[in-house]
Amino acid sequence: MIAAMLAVLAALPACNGLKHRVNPAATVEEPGGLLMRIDMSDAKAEAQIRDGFYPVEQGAWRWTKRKFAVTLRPPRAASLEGAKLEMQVTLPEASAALLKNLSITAKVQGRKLTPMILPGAGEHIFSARVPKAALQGDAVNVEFELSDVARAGKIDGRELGVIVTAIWFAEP
Amino acid sequence: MDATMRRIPRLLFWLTPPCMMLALYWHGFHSWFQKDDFAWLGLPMEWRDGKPWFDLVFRPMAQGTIRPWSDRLFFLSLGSAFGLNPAPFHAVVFVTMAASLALLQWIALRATRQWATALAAPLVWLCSVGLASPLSWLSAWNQILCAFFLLAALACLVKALETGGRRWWLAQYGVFVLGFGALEVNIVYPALALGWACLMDGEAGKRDWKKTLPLFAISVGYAVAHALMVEKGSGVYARHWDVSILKTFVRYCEFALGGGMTPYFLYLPPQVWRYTAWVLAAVLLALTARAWRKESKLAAFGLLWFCAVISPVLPLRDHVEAYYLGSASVGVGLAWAGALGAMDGRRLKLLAVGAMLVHAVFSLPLSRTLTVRHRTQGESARVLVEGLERAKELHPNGAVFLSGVSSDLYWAALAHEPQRLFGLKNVWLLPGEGKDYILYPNVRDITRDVAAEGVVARTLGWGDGRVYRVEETHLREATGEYWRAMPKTWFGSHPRMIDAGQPAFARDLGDGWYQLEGTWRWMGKRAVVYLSAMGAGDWDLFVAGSCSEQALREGPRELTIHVNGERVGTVQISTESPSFETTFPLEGVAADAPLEVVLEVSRTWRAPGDSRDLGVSFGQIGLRARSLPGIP
Repeated sequence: MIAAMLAVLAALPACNGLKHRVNPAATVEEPGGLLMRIDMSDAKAEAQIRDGFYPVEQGAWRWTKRKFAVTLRPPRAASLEGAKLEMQVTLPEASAALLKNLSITAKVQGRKLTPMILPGAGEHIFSARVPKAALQGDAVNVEFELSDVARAGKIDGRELGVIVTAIWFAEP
Repeated sequence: MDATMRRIPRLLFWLTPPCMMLALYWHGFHSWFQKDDFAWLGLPMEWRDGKPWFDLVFRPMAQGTIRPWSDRLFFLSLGSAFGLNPAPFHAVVFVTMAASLALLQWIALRATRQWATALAAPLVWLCSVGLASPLSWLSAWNQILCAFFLLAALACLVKALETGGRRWWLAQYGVFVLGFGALEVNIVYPALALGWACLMDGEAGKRDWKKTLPLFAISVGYAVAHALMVEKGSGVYARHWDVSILKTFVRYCEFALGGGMTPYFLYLPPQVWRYTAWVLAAVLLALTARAWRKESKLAAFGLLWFCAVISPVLPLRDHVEAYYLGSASVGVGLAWAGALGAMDGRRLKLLAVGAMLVHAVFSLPLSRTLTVRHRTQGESARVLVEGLERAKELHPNGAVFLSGVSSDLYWAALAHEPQRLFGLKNVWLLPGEGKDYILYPNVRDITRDVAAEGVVARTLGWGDGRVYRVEETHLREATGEYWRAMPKTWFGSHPRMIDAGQPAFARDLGDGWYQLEGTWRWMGKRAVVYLSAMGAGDWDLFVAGSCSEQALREGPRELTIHVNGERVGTVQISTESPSFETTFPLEGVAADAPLEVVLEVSRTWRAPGDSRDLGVSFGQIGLRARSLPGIP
């Protein structure tokens, strides 16, 4: 009996078909609206990228033009408390050499936010406070503008601004 | 053809008990995981996290028990291979029980040489109310495995006495020793072996009974080792060595014979089951005495089995559970079967059969009720746990707030933190949930599972969590609906208890705190925490934190705590006690004002390569009801 039980236990890993799997019907989710965060790696975010972006590269990031825009769903609390608009940007060495004191200006629903000057090459978080008045409703337009871009032919054949990995709203 | 026909009765004889088991406990074999199962299912995770295998299998756990086969390896191996699929677990339970039934049948057949009597023993055992939990709740499988080892050892003894073969004696010793890995109750086997040798095996028993004595030495050795290694029981597991043992024994006798509930279809007063138990006890004793006079002692051995196997749990005055009868009620089966087999007159045989039927009529409905209850509870637990698992897959870092969790579901699943099994950390009941729960303050403080209003508002507001309502077959997300109805004033409120190691409480921390590190957060020399007003009742301030031993080598430090400007106490932190959990009575602090808790440490330190002045790391800080274990 014990030998039989041990044999059964030894054979268990082979019974892969009996292994528990996550049940996709175990929750019924609310209808999905717009995303609060756009990750360039996320195919679901494609519809919220409006203009000013080049195609995704290495499945993770995109080059921008001088002006670029997205649509975001503000967090529920943002209509009560305001929020911070944040963007993960990278300025490569080649671009930094061309674009001194590059500044980023953002507008949310047409309201201009405090600009930020990128201190140099590398990865940075653009962050600007958004008033709650600009964050009412289920979708807001977010527009960015750079003070300068690398002209076509300087780095490659395109007009290139910065590299963006993600854009989101955060708690103020 | 004739040979086949001859085999059919024999086949029926052996197949009837397992088929009856399936028929009676069908619901049990379909029940999902519940209660303690979730703690044991955590073993594969601990193993994957690198905990030593030996430690997981042999370290005393759960009231200091060491049950390597029945708890540890059972859940460790099957949990690793199949995760949250209970079917393979039930298959093992079925095989063990079927083997135990066959062993009992074989032993009864050897003792009486009567096929009908031998069949009666497992069938009566199957009627026991004590089997309902072990056959429908996986954590109680230990009762069945224990019965298996006891019966297997006894079967070896029967063969040893029959044949005089040394290998059967050795096999008996081997099985007996292995039985300690199933349940501590195995300790009584020497009494059963000696009883069998003296009562059942006339000449061979008289010749060989002394060979069972070394078994007692093993049991004594186990008892001494167990007493030295395992902590004393406390709470409901405290042992009471007084007259309550007799009362507890009487209760178990009543449950074993009368079931514990008068079946509703009899339309009799509720206490009738108890009187029935006494009548059945009188009949069984009378028949046993008559059988004894006829030199048929199987019934007496059955009673010895029952008394011996139930005896280890008799000191547990405050923890009388039907499932403890799971292995003890083998004795009831043997006793009724022995009594039936020894009766010669038709009337007496009818009396024995009638009494067995009455026993079944009173026991089986309760067994079925308990079994169905386990299945229903398990199904609710499955809906909740699978829903949480799916929520974790969809929203890996989000908190989950639950509504519609019944008291039964809370105690069957959520109180055992099943979400740990798939790494979901923040699962809470929504504010207002749990008010109608049955309270077991010794088991768990429900308030720790109810989210504070401010935490709910901030977490939902910033998209860090979702609300799910428990429905019959799934969890339904209701975040938007809940948000729309939620009072927005919750944003400004603070909770009664904060955990500085969780991001959800960041806004309840004032000046003096550093960034979150894992599940804790360092304060500097002075730090502030904001808590809600106490309200009615008597409250204590609870603080739990620690300081690194490296820091304490520079000298002990003192943590002083002020609440709304009033000094409420100090905590001494030293290398002897680097971690602390303590409470201070909040007397003289206004009950209706929000609380500002100021923590100040007598000295700080700097870790190598770190420029921060570090005081103490936390931990929980908050209010604890002194006399109010439920939801305020």
